[in-house]
Amino acid sequence: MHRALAFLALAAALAAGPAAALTPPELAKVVATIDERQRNSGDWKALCYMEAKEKGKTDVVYELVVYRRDEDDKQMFLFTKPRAEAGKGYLRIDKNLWLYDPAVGRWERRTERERIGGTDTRRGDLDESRLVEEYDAKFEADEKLGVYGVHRILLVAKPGVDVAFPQVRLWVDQATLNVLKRQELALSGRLMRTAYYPRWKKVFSPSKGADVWYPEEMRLFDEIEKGNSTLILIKEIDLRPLAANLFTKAWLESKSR
Amino acid sequence: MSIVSVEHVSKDYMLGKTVVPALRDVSLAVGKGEFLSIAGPSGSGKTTLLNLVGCVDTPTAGRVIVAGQDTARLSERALTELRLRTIGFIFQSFNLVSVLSVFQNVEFPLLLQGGQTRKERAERVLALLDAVGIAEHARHRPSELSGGQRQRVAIARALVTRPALVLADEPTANLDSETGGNIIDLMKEMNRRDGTTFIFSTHDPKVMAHASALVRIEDGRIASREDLDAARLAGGR
Amino acid sequence: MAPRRDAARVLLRIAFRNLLASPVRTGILGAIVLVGALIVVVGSSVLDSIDRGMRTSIQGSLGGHLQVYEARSEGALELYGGLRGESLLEPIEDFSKVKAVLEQVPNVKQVVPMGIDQAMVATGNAFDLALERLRGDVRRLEAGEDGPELRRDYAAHAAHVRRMVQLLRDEIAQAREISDPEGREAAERKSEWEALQRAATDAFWRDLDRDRYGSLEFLENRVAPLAMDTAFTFLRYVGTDVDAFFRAFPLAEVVKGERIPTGQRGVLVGKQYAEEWLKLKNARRLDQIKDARDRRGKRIADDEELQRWVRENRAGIREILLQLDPIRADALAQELRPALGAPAAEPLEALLGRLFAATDESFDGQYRIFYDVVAPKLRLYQIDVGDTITIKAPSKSGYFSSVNVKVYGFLQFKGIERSGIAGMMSVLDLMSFRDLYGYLTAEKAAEIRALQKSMGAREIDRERAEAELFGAADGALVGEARVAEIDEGALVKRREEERASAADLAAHVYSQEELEHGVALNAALILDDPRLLRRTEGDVRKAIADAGLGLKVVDWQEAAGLVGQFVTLLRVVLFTAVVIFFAIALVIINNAMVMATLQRVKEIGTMRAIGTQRRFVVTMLLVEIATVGLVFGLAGAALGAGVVWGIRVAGGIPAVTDLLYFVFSGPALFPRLGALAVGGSLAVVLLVAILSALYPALIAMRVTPVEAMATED
Repeated sequence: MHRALAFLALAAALAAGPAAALTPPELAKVVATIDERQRNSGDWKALCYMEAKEKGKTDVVYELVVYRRDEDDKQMFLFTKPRAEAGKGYLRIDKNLWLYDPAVGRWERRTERERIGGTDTRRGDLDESRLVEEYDAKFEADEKLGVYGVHRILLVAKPGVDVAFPQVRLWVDQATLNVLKRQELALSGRLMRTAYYPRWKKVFSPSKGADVWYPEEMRLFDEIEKGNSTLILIKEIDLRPLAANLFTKAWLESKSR
Repeated sequence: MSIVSVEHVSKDYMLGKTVVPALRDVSLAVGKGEFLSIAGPSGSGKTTLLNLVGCVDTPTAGRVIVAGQDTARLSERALTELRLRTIGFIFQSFNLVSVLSVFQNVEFPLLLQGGQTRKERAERVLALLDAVGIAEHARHRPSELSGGQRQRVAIARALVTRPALVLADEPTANLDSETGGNIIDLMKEMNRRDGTTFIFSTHDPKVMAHASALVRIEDGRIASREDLDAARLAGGR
Repeated sequence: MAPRRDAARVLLRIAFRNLLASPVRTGILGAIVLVGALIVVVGSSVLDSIDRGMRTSIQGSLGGHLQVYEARSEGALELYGGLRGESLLEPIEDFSKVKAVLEQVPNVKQVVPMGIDQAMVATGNAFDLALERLRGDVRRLEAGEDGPELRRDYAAHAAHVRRMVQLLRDEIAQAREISDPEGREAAERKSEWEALQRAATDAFWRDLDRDRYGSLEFLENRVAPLAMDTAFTFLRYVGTDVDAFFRAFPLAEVVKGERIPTGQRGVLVGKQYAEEWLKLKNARRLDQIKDARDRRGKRIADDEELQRWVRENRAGIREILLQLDPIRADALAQELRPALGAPAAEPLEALLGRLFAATDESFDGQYRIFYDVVAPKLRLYQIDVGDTITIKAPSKSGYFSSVNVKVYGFLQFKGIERSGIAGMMSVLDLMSFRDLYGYLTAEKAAEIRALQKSMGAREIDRERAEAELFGAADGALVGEARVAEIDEGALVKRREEERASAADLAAHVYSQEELEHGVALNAALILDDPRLLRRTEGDVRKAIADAGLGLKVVDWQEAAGLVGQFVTLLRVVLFTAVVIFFAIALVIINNAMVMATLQRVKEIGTMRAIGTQRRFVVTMLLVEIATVGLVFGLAGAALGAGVVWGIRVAGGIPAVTDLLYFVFSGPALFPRLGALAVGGSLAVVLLVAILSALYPALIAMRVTPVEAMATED
């Protein structure tokens, strides 16, 4: 299987033409650029749509606001639609992930691996990109993804760093350095999830003084439970500074009272 | 008029796939009150003949008429009924029902016949036991009696229904000669007293001598028939 | 008929005498028949009693007499759960319609709506719970409330948390000595330790009031995760109209607390469930030791399981220490010292160690001290009467739903209190059940569709995703966006009536109409006369068909699922055993009779020769064997009755497992001798005896009079 994949990759690389392999410094630069382009030094607020499809079940859909304050490693989700879900939220502080349900007025401690709102989304999908910090990169091949020329890069988690997936494989657009495809693998190499990012948007960030890139559309396919998939759309971005006390339980509680 | 009429009777047995003829074209008539002895060596067919006359077997060919009935035409049930009402049996090895007392053994055919009160039965049974000389053993089981005594009981049983015909298959073969003699005397006495027809098989010349007629069988055929009474009368003994 | 009677008399005489004539053979046949009858009588008496016990348990706890559920359901109704969890039932959308129709069926007394499911109950780890209490106080203080009582609570709760921090620090300090400080996650461990050290300082607690929320967040996010405890448990419940439930199931009773008031939300937690899963582990183990000693005559000295419990109790002291704030901990230590005869300075931990170090001699005293002195200061059950618990379940619409319900009491079923099958079940009000069930209403479905449409979400086939997304260089790959202003305040506008606070919901009294007009998963039917069950079942079926309700009807036994099949299983086992036994018996009796017949060929031939009909001979043989069957069968049945009586006198068959407890409908089974069992056993042994005599009878029938003639020379 692996050999077959490698062979296919090799064939693809040859087909892609004479594009040379990335040298280690080039590779490091590519990965750093991916992080850098998505980084926003200030606060971040996005209005998102999330849709989970599961075989034999009705779709689960949400509208939610995602908050980030990257320097403090804080993150919050506030669900706004459908009506019955409005006011529910997740609050992440360090390694703690809290779930709040206004219907019962209680906080529940969840794990970092929580499937957000019962979908296939992990909190990391909506977090800042930290590839340099978390992974060691290895160039695999240059090849084609659809009509686009891409670098295929394998990332392996650095020792001692706690990440959701110990191995990640990226297909990076050679022209724009946007990630187009991402495979997430278990330690054993088993494919867990495949993600596609077909549309990237940039927006000028005053705090960063440069453009911030974000994937407008994310498609997550569960490779274990085949047939399950999740779609995330980032509809709007708001880069104004957030209230200082926003990433607290008290703030989230106040939003649904 | 004869009580038994055997007309051109043959009887074959199957021994594996071979047919063994036991009787070949035998004809015989037995008149009422006869005391007929059938004699012949072992395997000569005398038991077969007795079986046919006794309605316990049916011929392969020919007719056996007992008490005016053609046995070949009777059902198994009817044959059984005929045996019960018309024929008494005396066996070589006595064949008493071991779990019944002497009295009950003799009473047995009467019970099968039915139609009599207990008193009537008792009178008849006791009279017969008296007649055969073992009244004092009425309550004993057959196993407590000697061979001769047992055969007396068997005679009583055979006679208790007052049958027209009594068949005895080697009745003395299992007895010493003295006892055997006594048994034949008893049978003869009964024959005389009630006029009951007796047919018995034997190969004991002493026993044959008591017969009124003697039929000899050899190889399934009747070799001779002698009228001993007539001979005796003629002989002036 | 006189001839017949004479013949019959001699026939019987011969038959009986034959039996007596061979006592050994008769004895062997008799013994077989006797044992057979004994097995059948005892077995069927026990089974009938089990059947009765099951009936009591199932009908009295959940089953009723009949159950109806949606015919389109994928799975079958299994009231007590199946191998693969809860039954997959389609909902009955409007229970009131079902009720209206079924109540009209003759002999139907009551129709009880039900919905059985399992859900998660967050119990929180001890640390989280203590922090949650403190947060409750902080919330009120920050909102401007004040008063001596609130201040007292606040101080006590804070002291409790502080004590927990100290206990946790001691514990982790020990662990640190063992673990490798230079390991992979050393940096993380170090930062954790620092956080813990900080939370244990006086300064931290002195400054608590300066930044209450900040301090709480620090404790919640940096300290509490270090205390690894289970944080939730699963509750199995039946959502029902509570009043109707208690009317329908006379075995149900509230043992602690009270019933859920009519029309209100609430839960009655299964007592046995509470004992096994919610009780403080140390208390539970003490109960188990006591039970093992008192009821099963076990001794700590020579039973490994009991010794293990004692060991675990000594290790479980931490759980008790965590529960006590400093004031109560001191008070407890003071009371324990004289009770245990301990030296004046002995600390609480050592005192508890002394308390739980039980031997056979000291156990009863220690048990009393625990319940008299320690228990009143503890929270014995994670969920207790008076609490409000949060139940969370994945709803049928795909979203998680949570409800808060008050625990009004503990529930048990009379007679089967200790059964884990019925005793695990809790009773939940129907409205809360429906919230958790989260049936996707047309309204909700429309809202979801509208949202999907407004977002312009496009579905993509997994197999062709890459071609569709990256197949054309259409310039969609990159684009420019403008910042927007997102106002979550406007987005999270919930309708006024939906903002009903938890307190409002808890106090709300729902009308009978509201209760009945809505989703249920199944309904129990209680009959006036259970003996007419089959007829009523037919009537109910007809009524459902006539009204076009599309429901499936099952009887209580089928509804009980796996548990209900237990009796069937036992029946199969007994039946198989009996069949095997009698098959062997048949062969033995047959053989013996064939031998007996062959021995009697001459006698039978003689009888046939002197005028006995075949029928007579056959009848004689059958009478012989039937006599054996009847006499020894009766003796066996009598012996069986004696055994049944003996079992009752000896205290019944003890229910050693939960399943048996349920099946026996009590702690022991008292089998009752049934006329049917005795009659049945006689019928069976007679039948077998006669069957086994058929072949010998055939042989006897074929004996010809010629056999009598056969000479022996």
